Amino acid sequence: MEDSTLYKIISAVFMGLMILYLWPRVKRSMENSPKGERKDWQTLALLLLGIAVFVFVLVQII
Amino acid sequence: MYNNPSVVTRPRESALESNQVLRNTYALLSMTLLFSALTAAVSTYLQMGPWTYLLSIIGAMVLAIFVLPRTAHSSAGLLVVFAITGLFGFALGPLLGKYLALANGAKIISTAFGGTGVIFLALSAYVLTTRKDFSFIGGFLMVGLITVFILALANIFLGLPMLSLAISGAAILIFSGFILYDTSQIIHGGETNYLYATVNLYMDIFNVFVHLLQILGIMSSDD
Repeated sequence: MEDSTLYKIISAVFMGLMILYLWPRVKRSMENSPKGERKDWQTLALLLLGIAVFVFVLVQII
Repeated sequence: MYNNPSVVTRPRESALESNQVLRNTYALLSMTLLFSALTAAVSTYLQMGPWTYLLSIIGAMVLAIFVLPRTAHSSAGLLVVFAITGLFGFALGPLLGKYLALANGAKIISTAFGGTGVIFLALSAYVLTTRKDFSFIGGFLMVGLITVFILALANIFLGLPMLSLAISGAAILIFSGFILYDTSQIIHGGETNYLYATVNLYMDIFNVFVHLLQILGIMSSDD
């Protein structure tokens, strides 16, 4: 077996195991997370938009 | 009512405890970032092979998932945290070596490093000054994270550069969200163990750095 194929297979198995490990936590988080208000989500959206703009600026600089 | 000491002191004790966790977390985070920079430098200098990345990440995750929970309440936990972050740093060697071989590689790495610092400091400062509770984004972030994992798993075999770019962009936003969430958890008493808090914030920073490096690398290439 080629080295790169083996690398891909081990990466995929690792990713698959991480997904299996995270799955119950995702379900628990979905059920137990407190609900945010519209204003809270707007704040989050603005902050993440700021990050996206900042990354765009970095790409332009480079 | 106002003479009841438990009413007055309990929130104050809780606030003091949160401040203590925050101070310990930032002190340990600074040390682990320096330590992982050292292991990254060693790994780059030794020109470690491409397997280094995958094996170091697997080793770090095994320690974080199976060993840290057993040692998080003892002094051995401190060693485990350094082992985890040292392995994450060591994993970066082949990646940094690849970028350093490019004509503008040093600029890409320094921009990704500076950009990650700005993102972390800005988001942390926002949470610490506003003291806003971001616990409501926990479920949203976990769904985003697992979606990124599934897409990354598919792209191991598809190898699409545009999907890779989209995954990195989404990962930066998700781990930026985790910086808000994890910092908020510390100051609102949701995370009282500074070893866990350090590993969480370290992983957020590590992932923002790696994916920013990826985006800058793809966007600056002529291919």
